Amino acid sequence: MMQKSISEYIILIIISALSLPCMAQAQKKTVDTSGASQVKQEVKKALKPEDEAKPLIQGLSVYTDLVGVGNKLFGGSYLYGEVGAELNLLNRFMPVIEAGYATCDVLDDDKSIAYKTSAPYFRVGMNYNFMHKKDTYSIIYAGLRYGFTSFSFDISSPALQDPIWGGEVPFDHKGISCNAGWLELVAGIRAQIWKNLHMGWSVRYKRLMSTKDNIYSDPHYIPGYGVKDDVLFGFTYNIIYYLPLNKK
Amino acid sequence: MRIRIGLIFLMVLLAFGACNDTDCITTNTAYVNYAFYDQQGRLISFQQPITVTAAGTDSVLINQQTEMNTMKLPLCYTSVEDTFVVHYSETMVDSIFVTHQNIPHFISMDCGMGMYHHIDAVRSTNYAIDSVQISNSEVTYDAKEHIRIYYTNNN
Repeated sequence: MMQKSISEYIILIIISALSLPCMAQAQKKTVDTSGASQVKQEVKKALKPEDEAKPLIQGLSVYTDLVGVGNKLFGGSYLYGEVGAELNLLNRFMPVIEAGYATCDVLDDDKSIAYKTSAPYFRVGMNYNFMHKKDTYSIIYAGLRYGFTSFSFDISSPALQDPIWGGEVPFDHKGISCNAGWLELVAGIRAQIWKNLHMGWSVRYKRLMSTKDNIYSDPHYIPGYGVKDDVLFGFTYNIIYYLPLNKK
Repeated sequence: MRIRIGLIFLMVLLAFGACNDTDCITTNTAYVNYAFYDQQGRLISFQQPITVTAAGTDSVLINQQTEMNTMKLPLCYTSVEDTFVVHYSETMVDSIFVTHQNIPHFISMDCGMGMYHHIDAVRSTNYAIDSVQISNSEVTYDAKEHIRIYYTNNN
């Protein structure tokens, strides 16, 4: 109740500031321009019905991404599970946290290079709902994430053959520690399936910002990011449970 | 307003964009790049043919090459000091001794493995060479100059 009245007050201040020019014009036409009650009435007129007394917290959603599991089921080398939580503020801004666990166990058939890692990863960010005027959680959104992970990996390959002097050098390293940070631009949609259950998908444009390289090896696969490259595209398919909290 | 935000998002997306091709080196050998200088520090080139061999092998790394002002030579994967013999003629030779560390390195699944090196020290005989100097000690696949060879001016 307290939170609701604070949010109403904040919105009232913002809308008052934004509608000052309108109010100034309106005041010219008003005979009696004095008194706080007059201002209050004008603010009420300026308020759009959708913004009036809109609670700050509109809802909370939790979701999971099924692409990581699907990838493994269809024969991929990478398996990851991911959950996220999102707070719906004013049906417009949606801060997000995401956490997952990824594993990669790959053997390159051509070069016989083996790479293995498994580690948790995290993302924080925010979505913006382009359909905020509609009182629904079936939305089109865009957002930004910062992801980070700390992990270790094993890598081995056939021995390197010296083409001039002859001889060979074995290559087998275990427990190389690494960390990485990246940014993601996200765009996606969500639609209601049944009651509070929604599904959605998103495309993600990822850019690797930092990674700790090792003298023997750069990481091949970064949990939460993907196969190491400066830029990657990703895809998520989400099942979402949305709990509305804007009951008046 | 929505269109404006959409456009901003698209512009940011494009700004993030970059071409990305996988270019692999065909061999997994990283070469040491040498450059020839006179004692005044000016880049010089040899008009007479030069041959370079690796001591301890029958490999001819450079064979009778003319008008050279740079050369690139490999390092041994398993030893820590290599000797290269520079033949100016049948009887005129200099030897270059390179002390190094060998670093096998995973590049990518597409490009495979490579052998990088770290040059610890370099020295030479002084038949025609005045001195040698490390200019970049990390030997990877880049084209940086790693060792400078200063020749006496009467060559």
